[in-house]
Amino acid sequence: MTSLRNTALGLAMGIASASVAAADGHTELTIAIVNNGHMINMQKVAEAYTADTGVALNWVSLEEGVLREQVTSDTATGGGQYDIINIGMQEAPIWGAAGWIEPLEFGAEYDVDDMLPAMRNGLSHEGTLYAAPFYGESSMVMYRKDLTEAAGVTIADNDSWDNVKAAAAAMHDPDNGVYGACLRGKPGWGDNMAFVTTVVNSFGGAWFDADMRPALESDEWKAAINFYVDLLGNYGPPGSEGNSFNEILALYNEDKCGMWIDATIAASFLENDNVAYAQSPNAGNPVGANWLWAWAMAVPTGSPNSEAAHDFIEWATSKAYIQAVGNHPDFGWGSVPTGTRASTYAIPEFQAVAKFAAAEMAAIESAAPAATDIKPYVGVQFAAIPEFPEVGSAVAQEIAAALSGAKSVDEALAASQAAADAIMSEAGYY
Amino acid sequence: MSNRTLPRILQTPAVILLLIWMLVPLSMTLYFSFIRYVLNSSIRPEWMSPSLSNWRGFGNYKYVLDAKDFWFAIQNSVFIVTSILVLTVVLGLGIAVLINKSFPGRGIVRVLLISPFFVMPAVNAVLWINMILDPVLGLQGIAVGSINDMIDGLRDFPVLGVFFNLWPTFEPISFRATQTSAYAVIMMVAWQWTPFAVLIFMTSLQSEDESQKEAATLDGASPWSQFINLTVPHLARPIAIVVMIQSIFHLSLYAEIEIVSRGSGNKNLPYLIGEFTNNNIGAASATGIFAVILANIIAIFLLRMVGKSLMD
Repeated sequence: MTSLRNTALGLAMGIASASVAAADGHTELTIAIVNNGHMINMQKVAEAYTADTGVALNWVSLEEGVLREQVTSDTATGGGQYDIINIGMQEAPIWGAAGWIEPLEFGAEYDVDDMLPAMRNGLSHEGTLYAAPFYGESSMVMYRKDLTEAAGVTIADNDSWDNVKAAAAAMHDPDNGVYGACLRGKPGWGDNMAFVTTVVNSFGGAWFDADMRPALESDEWKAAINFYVDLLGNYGPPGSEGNSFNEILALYNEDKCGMWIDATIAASFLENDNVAYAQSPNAGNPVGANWLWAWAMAVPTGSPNSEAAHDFIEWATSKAYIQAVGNHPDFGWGSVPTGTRASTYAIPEFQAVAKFAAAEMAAIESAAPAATDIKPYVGVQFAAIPEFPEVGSAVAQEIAAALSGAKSVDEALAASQAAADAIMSEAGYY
Repeated sequence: MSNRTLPRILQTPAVILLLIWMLVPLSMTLYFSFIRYVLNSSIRPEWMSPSLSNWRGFGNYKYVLDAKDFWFAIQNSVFIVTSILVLTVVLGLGIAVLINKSFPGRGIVRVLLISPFFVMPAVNAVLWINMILDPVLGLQGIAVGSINDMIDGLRDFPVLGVFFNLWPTFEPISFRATQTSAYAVIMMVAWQWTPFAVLIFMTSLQSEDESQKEAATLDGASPWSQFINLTVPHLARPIAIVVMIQSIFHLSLYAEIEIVSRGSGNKNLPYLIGEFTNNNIGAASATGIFAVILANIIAIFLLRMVGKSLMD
C-alpha cells in the first residue's frame, strides 16, 4: 500500500513538474525517429543543440515498420504525440497533399538550392517542400573485385542484366560458401519490392497503367520476375526469401557474397577491402534502375511547438549539422549523413574517407521519380499513393512465394494482379 | 430490500467499468466495420473521417471474404494452433513424467526446463530464425555444412568410401520460405510453451495416488498400462486447462509470424487485420469481427470440454 501511494505521489509530482516546466517557457520537442545509424547518432550530436538553445529533445526511436504504423495512425487521427516525425519519400508528398504535415520554408543561410534536385522533388508536392531530407540513398552494385578478377569477369556501370548474371554465375561457389549474387527476397514493399521494382523498371514495366489499373501481368513484369527468380534462385544464398538489407549485410561481411545490389548507404558499412562499385544494371529505360529514397523530417499539422520544430529541422538538415557530425569526437567524416546536399560531396575530408561518394552521387542524380509516359505515378521503387503499402505488401508475398518455388512466376503474378486489382477498385480508382 | 442488494450495489462500479472496457471498443469496431473508413485517400477524401454518410452495409465483410488470403488465414490458424497443442501436450506429458522421479540435480533440470517460457515471443522468434534455423549463418547451416564436409572426407576411405559415395550432399532448409514458414513458427512456439505444460502437469502429478500405483504393480500392470490407465485419466483436467489457455494465446500469434516470413505462406486473422490497418480501417474492423466470431466458436467448445472434465 505504501509503495502504491508513493507511486501515485511520484506520478502526481511528475505531472506537476512537467506543467511547471512548460509554464517556465522551456520548450520540449518529441521526435519520432527510425532506428538506423544516422538517426541514432543524431541523438548525441543534438546534445549541443540543447545546450545552445535550451530546447529539450525527447527521442522516440522505433523500428521502420513500427514507426510507419505509429506515425501514420497518430498523424491521420490528429493524435499530436509528436512534434517532429521521420517519414520517407513514399509518405511525404501524399501527406503534404492531405494537409497532415506543414510546408517547410527556411532562411537564406539554409541554401535550399544546395539540396540534390532528386531529393527535393521527391519530398515536395506541387513544388512545395513538405519534409527536409536527413539522409538520402539510391541503389548500386557492390561487388568483390578479388572474386571478379579471379573469375575473369567484369561488371561495368549500367551493365546489361545478362552480363551481371554471367558474372554472378562465374563467382558462384557454394561449396566454399561463396554465393554469386545476394539480393533482397524478404517480403515487404520496402524490402524485396524495392529491389524487384528497380528490375521491373529497367525492363520497361510499371506498377500501374495510365488509368491506375495494376499492370502486373504485363510481359515486362513476367520477364523481370522470371529473371529475378532465375538469378537469385540459382546464384543466391539459400534462404534468400528471408534476406533484406541487414541479413545480406551480415552475409557480405562474412565474405559470402560475390555481388550485392542494394542501398548506396550499405557501402559505408562494408568491411572487406576489395569492394568495388558500379551503377545498377539497366536496359536503357529512362526511369533508370536505381531507386531513390530519403528519410526526412516533417512537422505534423497542429503541433503546439511548430516554430521550435521548424527551427530544429532547419538545424538538423543544414550544412552546419554535416560539419558537426564530421568534427564530433565520437563520429567523424565517415559517418556524416549523405545523399542530401551537393556541398557534402565537395568536402575534402569526406571525399578522403568515403570511397563510394562519387558512385552514390551519380546514382542519386540518375534516379527520376517524376511521372512519365511509362508510369502515371510519382516514385521510382514505389508509387506515391496512399494504397501502395497495401498493394506492395500483397505482391511482395507472392514474389517471395515464386522465389521459394511454392508458385510459378505466372501463378504468382496472376495472384498479385488479382489482389492489387481488388485493393485499387476498393479504394475507388475505378 | 433483500440481502442481495448491498453486494450488488458494491459490485456495480466494477461491472460498469468492465462493460465500458469491453463495449466501447467492440461497438466502435462494429460501427467501423459497416462504414467506409480509410486513413488516407487521395481519390475519396470523404472516406478519411468516420461518419454515417459513408455507410456501406456488409460491403466490408464481402471485401474481406473475397480478399486473397482470408480462407487461407483461417485454415492456417487452425493448423498452427492444433499442431502446437498436440506437440506441447505430448512433449509436456513425457517430460513431466520423466522428471517426476527424483534424481540428482532435479532442481536445476526443472529450472532449466521452465526457462524458455520466460523468453519474450519476439526475442524467441529472432533467436530461432537467425541463430538456429538460418540456412547459412545459423546452427542449421553450420551443421549441414559440417555433415557434408565429413561425408566428403569419408568418401576417400578405401572400403567405406564406396558406401559414402552413395550418400547425397545435404541441402540446408530455408525456414523463411513460403512452404516451411508455418513449421518454423510451430517449432518455436512449441519450444516456448512446452514448459508451461510441463509445469502444470508436474504439479498435478504430485497429487497422484501412489498406493493405487502400487496396487497396479502388484496386479502385474506394466508401466505403460499404468501410464495410460492411471496417469493420463488423472491428468485430464490439467490437459483441458493447458489446451484452453494455449488456444486463447495462440489464436492471436503475431510476433513470430511477422518476424519469420512477414506473412508469406503463414498467416492468421490477427496478421490479416494488421495488414489492413495499413490503410483500410473498415476492412480491418470487419476482419476483427470475424476473429471475435471464430474465437467465440472455439471458446464454446473449449468451455464445454473443460466444464465436462471439471464435472467428472
